Amino acid sequence: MDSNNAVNLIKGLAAGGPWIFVKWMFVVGLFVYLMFALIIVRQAQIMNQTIDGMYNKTVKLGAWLHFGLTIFVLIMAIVLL
Amino acid sequence: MGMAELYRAEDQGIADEGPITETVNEEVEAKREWREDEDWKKLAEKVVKDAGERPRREFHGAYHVLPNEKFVSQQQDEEIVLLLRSHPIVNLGWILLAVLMMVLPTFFEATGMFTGVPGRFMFVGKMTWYLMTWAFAFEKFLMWYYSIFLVTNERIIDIDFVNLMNRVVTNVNLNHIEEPVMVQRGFGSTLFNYGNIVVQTAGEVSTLDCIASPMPAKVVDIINRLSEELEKRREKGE
Repeated sequence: MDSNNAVNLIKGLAAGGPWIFVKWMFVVGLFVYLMFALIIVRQAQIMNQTIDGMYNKTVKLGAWLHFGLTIFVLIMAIVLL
Repeated sequence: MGMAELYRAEDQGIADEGPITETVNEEVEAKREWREDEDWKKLAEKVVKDAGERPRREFHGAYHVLPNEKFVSQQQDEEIVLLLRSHPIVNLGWILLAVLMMVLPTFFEATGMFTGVPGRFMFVGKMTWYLMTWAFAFEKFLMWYYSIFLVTNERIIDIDFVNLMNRVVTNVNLNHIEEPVMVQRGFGSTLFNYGNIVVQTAGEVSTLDCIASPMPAKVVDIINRLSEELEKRREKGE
């Protein structure tokens, strides 16, 4: 990206007002959070291997549901804001 | 014996003695293993019965006698006698905090401090907050549910999830333990009958801890009985 493009980007963002910054903070934050949600899914899988307990399926479902909702909120942040 | 006869004989299971002997040996071996399994089950049941216990699941799975569940690295002739977690009451703190986190957005909204924030930002902000609350509660539950202390007929296994990234599995043979100790301190532990169990070991790992185990006296009793039974068997040369 050359300096003109960078200036144009900043001008564009500034034209959108302060909320455009908030929007991209949300998007970046939620993207990082998505990685965390993915780790939870992976960790739930590893934990399930530790013991064959009665809540294993519930835990797995909870982790995937959390991951799915994170994607949903991320999309909402991109589309709605 | 001609080739055609040989095939017919194989079909009838009488081709030669080799496979038959092998099959018989396998059957004998299987029966022997089965008997050994039964021996172990009987031993576990006897110890549990002598300690005045019975197969049961209490405190939302925090105290499970003869649970008939499988765990990672379980051996063939190994049976779980006790499956322990921290007493569910220790979760009260984070449950209350999670409930507080759930009502916090409504509370702040009612104060009017977000009146200048556009509705769509409020919506996404709230959703993000609830997601984080979910993650917080879910992680705490996972830590509680999967941090377990197992007493089997052969060893004690302590599985600790320090955080989402770190798992520590420690196990020690019942032959290598010193006298287990229970520590019950404070109002809560007396009221709800939970306490810490500390098992000194003769191995590399000096102690195994079970934090806030329900019915700690009973647990120590069962560990002692199992250890004694194992010692007796060793003396008999079994």
